[in-house]
Amino acid sequence: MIVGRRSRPLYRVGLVLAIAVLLIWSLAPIYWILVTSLKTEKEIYAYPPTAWPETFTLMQYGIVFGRTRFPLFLRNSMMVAIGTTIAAVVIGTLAAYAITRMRFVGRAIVARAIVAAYLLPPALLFIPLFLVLQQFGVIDSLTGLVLAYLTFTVPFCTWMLIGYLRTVPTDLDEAARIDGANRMQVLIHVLVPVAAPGLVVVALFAFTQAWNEFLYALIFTYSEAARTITSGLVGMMMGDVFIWGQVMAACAIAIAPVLVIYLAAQKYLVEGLTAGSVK
Amino acid sequence: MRSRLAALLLGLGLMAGPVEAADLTVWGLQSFNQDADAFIGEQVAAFGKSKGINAEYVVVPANVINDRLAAAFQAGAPPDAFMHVSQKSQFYIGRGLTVSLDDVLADIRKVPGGIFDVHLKTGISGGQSHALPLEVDISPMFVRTDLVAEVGMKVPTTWDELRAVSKAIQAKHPQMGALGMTVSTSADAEGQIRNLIWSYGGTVMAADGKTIVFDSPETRAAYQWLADVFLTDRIIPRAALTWDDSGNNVAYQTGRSAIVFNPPSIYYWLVANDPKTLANTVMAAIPRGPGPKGVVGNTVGSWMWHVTKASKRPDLAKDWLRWFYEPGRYRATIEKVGGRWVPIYPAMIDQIPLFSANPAFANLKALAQEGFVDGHAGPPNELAGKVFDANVLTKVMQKILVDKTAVGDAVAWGQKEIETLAKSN
Repeated sequence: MIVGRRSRPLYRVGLVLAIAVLLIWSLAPIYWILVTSLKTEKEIYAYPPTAWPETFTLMQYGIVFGRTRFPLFLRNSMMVAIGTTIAAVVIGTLAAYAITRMRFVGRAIVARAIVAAYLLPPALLFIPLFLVLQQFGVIDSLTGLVLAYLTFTVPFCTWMLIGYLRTVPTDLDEAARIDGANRMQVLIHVLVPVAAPGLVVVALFAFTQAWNEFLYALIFTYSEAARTITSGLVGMMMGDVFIWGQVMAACAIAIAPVLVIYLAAQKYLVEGLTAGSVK
Repeated sequence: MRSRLAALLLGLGLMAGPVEAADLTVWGLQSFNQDADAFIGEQVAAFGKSKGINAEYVVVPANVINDRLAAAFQAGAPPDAFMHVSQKSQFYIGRGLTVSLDDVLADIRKVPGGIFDVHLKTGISGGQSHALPLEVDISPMFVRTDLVAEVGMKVPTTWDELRAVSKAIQAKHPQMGALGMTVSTSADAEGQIRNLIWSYGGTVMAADGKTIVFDSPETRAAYQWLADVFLTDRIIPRAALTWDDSGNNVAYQTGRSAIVFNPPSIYYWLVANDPKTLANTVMAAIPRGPGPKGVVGNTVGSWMWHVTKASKRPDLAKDWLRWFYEPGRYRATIEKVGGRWVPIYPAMIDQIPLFSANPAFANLKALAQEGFVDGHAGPPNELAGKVFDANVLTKVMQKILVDKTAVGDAVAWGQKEIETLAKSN
């Protein structure tokens, strides 16, 4: 009997060990966030540190929800991330369709310009972008943030969808066109259903990018009314005073939506990634 | 499809909410206390109400204020008034972005007992005050008296005593890093290395504010002391090389260090969380340096108010400052901050029980009155701020402690760096 490499005990042990190391590497910070958020302030500073709370408390969550503006920041983050995702996916889909299916002068340049736009570091862009948003009168507003985030999510979504749509045979479009469909109908009724896994992946990445964004949120919003989670968290670090319990409780809450969305869309995510959207 | 797109755009539009510009915008640095930020915000709103205008207070974290101000000035829409740390005042004043506040200063000088004059220096340009201190920022030495008593010694008053006490505590408690001195390039480290150098009689600039005299026997002696305690005695935690500003707080609060230099934020944490350690803590003066040039090299800073030249309502912004400095309201603010800010009115230290009735604060008035501001021994200027921002003094320290560069060579390197900064100034 031939014993495959994968069934050798040593190989399996090595594999399990490697996975365990990767899991610890990935999950340890999340574990520490959760555990710290359940400790008292005194225990957080205990030395040696405790790996498990000696006294469980939900006090930090109580403070975060009851005595800070964190619920408002959470709502703002959600609105900005959803708004950005919808707009980025719609614009990105239209742009990707145009680039992959239509013939026009400068098509290749436009495609490359989209990548170039995505690669520009935000630190270079924030002052010019501030000027533009100031002119539009949308500084310190959620709309301003959505517009700012579209500067990197639209190129990202477009580029990803270009790759995906190129894997979809043009025969499908042509058949629909022969049946009398116009371009928009082809896109909505033929390509979008076929590209659904790709769209889900793109939407997830756009949502995550908008949810996690920090620099623009910090610079373009002033008032608490327009602050998102990332910029709101900074308010819990006051000079050399870090309110670790509250920071960790807020982080634990901030992780939850992205985690839930990824778990719910796991099937599409794998399908979308393997089907070519990010090849 | 069109209707869906329209709905999307409408949805995004609705998210904007009203974009209503305030009549007066005041930017404040985030204090160390959320209640205090809210209180100042209420004061700005009350001021606006008294004037019949819409006044807005925006709390800005210290680590982003430079970026936000850069963007706002660039866009031609800076706040009417803003706070910043004293080390940065000359940057904005030197670029002509602020207006003179002499008239406001004249008013607040009339308060019985006057104000701490030393803190005005950082806001002066061309003989006029362009920035006014709104508090006094001091960093006393926190000492665990129980551990000092355990080794049969007293709270150190000189740097040599500090070394001896720390060594004794370290010998008794080998798991500790007895002296929690920040030796990274953080802002705390910048302040602490200045404490040491000033104490030994070293300075960056001469009294004329132009001649760079960093490379002196006194400066070299100060760095040598640090090299000895870090490399030879090993009484400073190794991790202190990479501490941020919270590193020494954590070291003291967890009991890993017996002595640290820090603003009173540690005190407030102890009040709230650890009464036992609090009872065994004293906030002492910075140790005195050796020899005839030795002094108590306590560095002091302030948070400063500025009124921008681009403001459409500079007089209103100045009125806000008068409102803020009115002794009754000012005292309420100081009390709200909980002592993290020392008042600019010396008499108020004696009036507020938080300071006057608290033995832990016994040294505050002297520390506030006798401190050196950045730029010592010359007047504060933009170069002093540049030296601070470029971390020259802490980089010299790290060359000695990490790269094991000879003290003389590292200090000579620092002198050249400062001279280069001066040429580009």
